[in-house]
Amino acid sequence: MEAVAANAVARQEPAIFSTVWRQERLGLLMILSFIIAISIVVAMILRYQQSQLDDATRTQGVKLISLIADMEYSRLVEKRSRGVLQLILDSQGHHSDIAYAAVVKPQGEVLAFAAASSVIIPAMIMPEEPANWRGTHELNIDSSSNAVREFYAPILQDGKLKAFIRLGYFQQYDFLTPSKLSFIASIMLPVFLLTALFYFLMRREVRPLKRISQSFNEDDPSPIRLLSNEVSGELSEFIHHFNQFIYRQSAKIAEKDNKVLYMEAATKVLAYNRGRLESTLQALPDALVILDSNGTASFANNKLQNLLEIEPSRIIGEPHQAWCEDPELVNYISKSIQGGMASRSLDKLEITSQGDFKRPISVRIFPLPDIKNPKRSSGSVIVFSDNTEQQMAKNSRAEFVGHVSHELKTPLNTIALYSETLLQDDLSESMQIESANVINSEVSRLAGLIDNLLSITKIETGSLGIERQRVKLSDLLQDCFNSIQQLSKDSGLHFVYEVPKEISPVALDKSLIRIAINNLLTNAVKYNSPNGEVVLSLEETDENIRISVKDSGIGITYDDQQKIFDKFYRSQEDNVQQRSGHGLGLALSKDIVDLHHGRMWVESKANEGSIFYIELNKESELLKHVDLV
Amino acid sequence: MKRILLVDDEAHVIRVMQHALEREGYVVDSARNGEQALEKIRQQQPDAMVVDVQMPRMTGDQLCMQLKDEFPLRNFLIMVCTSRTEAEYRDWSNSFKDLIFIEKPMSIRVLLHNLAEYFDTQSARQ
Repeated sequence: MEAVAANAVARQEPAIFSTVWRQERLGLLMILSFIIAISIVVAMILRYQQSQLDDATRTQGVKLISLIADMEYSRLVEKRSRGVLQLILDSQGHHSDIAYAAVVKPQGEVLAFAAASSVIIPAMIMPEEPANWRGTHELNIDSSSNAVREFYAPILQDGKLKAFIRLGYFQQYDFLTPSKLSFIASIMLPVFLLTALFYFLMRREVRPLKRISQSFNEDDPSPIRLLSNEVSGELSEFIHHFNQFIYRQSAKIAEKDNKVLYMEAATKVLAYNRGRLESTLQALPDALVILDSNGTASFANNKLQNLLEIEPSRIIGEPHQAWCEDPELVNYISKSIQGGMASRSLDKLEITSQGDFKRPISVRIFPLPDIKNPKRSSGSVIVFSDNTEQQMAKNSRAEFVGHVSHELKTPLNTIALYSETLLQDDLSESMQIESANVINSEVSRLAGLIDNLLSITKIETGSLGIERQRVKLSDLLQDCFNSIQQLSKDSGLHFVYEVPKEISPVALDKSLIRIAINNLLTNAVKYNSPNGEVVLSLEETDENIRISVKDSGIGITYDDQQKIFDKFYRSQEDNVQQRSGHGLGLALSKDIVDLHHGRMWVESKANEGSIFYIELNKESELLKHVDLV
Repeated sequence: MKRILLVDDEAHVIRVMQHALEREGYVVDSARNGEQALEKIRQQQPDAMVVDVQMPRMTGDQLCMQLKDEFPLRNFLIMVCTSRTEAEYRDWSNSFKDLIFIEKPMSIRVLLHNLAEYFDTQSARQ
């Protein structure tokens, strides 16, 4: 633990140091430079004093040696206990600076001397040249570093060199004595205090700059907000000017920002509008091509691919001759481009698509007026409309009318032929009965057909509203079952009724559902096998009621199952064709079930029989909605 | 004895026409659709054929076209019974000879009259 803590401290230390350095480096630099300055000043003072001391020694030495050299030689070399030299030495007192004084022969031999205690006079070869007889130099007097400044001068007798006088002074060193220290301190203290004051003032002046620099780190450049007592002088003026600059720049930036925002918004709106326009054009049911004034395509919607099998992106920037294959269409477009605004009156062109499925297409071209000059055309829009549905509707209407007239005229034809037969005079009784019966049955067939036709037409044109009422389905089914059983009592078929007595009441149109059920039961009888079976049953689940009519008859082939609910469809199978029918019963039944938001389907196998199902919601969609509300 | 072939998918129609024609002394044969009729004609050509248009398997007009291909020298009358009276539904028959249309609902009297007239004209020609 301790080791970890120590590591942590070690890691923190450089961090702390760097923090202190970053924050206080100015103060530290000032202290450092103050110490360096003090050191330089002290060194200079000491050096100055040293040189003063040296000069004093030199002056004194030169004077004293001159005095001694002028003395008589004999007195200087007198053999007495206290010679002249000793007297000179003593005259300097206890703190004498003189290390020694000696009279030496020109060859260097000492004739007389006096020396401070423990000082040995160093040997010296005296100069021979008269020019060098007087001089000074520095010598070491012992192995220690005690240095001596020696002065020497010739002693002349009668103008001749008799000897040399050598005078050695201890080298004086100026040390930092306490008195000197207090002197230096008295000088340095005010300097130090001044420095501290300067540092403090500087810190105070710098503080606002620090705040300014912090404010620069923020994204939003704001003017420098400082109290007037915080700053003064030039800095205040600078801040004032700087603030004005910032205000001006901020205003410019804000203006530019607004412009940028406006441009961005305008671009977005433009893109949105363009997108909306393109979506609208893409969503149109018709294919659309927009041409420039020179006839090149500038836009085409995707319907072009579906309708004319032309890739929209392929035609952009291309003239119409490049993508139109139909020469009639090329002419039509060329005529419109040449005609300008006058081509408004061009009739529409009917063409057929080129693909596998030949679609009837009508083409219209609309010139686009120039915004500046509406009389001129700035391009045109070509609209290709698919007429397949209209054509199919037209065909289907014609087909329907054909079917109706055939289906109506067929029983009418039989009636006409038999009624004419009845008018014959000598008609056998059996033929009379047969004729009456056939006429009767054909009249019923005709009436049933007309009823079915009317119902189906009303349902499909929407003019037949269903009248829903709560119906006891078991009664309705029992009724239908009884009547078909009654009608087919001679058929030899076996009828089975599998409807539970208790069924939830259902809201439906009683008369319409009766038609649907009767149609299924009639078919089950009509298309059954001899001695076959007809089963009417009902199953109830939580949501639905499923009525089924099963027969054991001829069944329906898979291909026919896809078509039997189409109007007027009758199977081409022989065993179907042998039975009369007009192909409307199942179409009508399905329409009725659809009207009740139900479902109708068939399961069947050829020669095994069929089961027709009708599934009805127990609650109609409308009632569900009412409950929710 | 003239042989008449009746082609119709409605059994009652065949029955009543057969009754009327036989009363008039014609020999009557019948077919329920175009295919059956073609088979019978291949075996023996009738003197006249009364044919409905809308029939399963092979319609009346299809049968006529087939006959034109198969028997280019046909020398019997074709009487086409149709409920469509518009000219466009008769276009297919433009190049046929000895072909007449009878509009539904038909009349036995008109049928017999047309047959008699045709056979009279034919015998006069011979």
